[in-house]
Amino acid sequence: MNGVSIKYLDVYGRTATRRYRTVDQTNLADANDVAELVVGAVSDLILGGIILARKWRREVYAGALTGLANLDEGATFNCDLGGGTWGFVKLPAPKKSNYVLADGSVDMANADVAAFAALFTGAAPRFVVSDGEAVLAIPSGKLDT
Amino acid sequence: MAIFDCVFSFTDVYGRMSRRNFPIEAINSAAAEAFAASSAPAIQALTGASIDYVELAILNPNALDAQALSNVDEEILINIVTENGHKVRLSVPTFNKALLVASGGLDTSLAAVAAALVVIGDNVLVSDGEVIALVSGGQLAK
Repeated sequence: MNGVSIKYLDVYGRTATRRYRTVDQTNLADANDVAELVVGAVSDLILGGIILARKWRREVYAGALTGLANLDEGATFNCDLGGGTWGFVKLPAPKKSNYVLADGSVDMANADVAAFAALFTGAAPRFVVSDGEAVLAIPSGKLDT
Repeated sequence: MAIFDCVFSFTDVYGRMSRRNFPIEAINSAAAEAFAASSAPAIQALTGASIDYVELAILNPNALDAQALSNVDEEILINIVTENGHKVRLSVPTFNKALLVASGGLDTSLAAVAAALVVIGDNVLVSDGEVIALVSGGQLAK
């Protein structure tokens, strides 16, 4: 499934976003090409501006639900961005019994936690935080209060 | 390197859903897609919620400026008939009213309008993913 979300702007500075699903493509590059056609078509019909086009493709993932999983609970990982700045990654419904210690901190030596942290600290492709800042290390994490 | 907007959807045991962004830095969209797919199990290992989908997006800031008299409250509703005969309407805000006939309907005799409708008909899906069979014009929303 793929599509494009278009953010329209009027002369008064107000915005409106419309999400259009587009014909299915097997990769994001092709989905982007189709989305460009739609952006071009609506551009010819409007007086307003288009300030953002978010071209997306969705892949269904076969997830596994654990009993007692609760989205109101979360864990926050502290990300060292260098130069004394920090970023944060929040994960919902943590498996507390697997890696949260008695004091509420995250066991960073846990293999699953280490594998997760490596997704941020390795070479690209990698996860980044905030507006695209690279993570040097994830030294700690804790259960949200 | 480029930044791709990656969204994981989490669903808990109560059926509640939450979307979380995990932006990806990658050299191209193919690398970002492969990384998103391969990282899902590692994230799933830490959360009790099920990951239902991974959405990857390219964010393109667009420089198309708003023209005088553009108004997001004014939108055209494009009339669509799907492959299954369902009638739906597609919203396009800030519509250029110069492309309307006096009754408020879309002037499909204009080449620019006709071409745009063909592109929409060929490339957009509506409702729960139905193919568009016919784009029969449109009118200004009341």
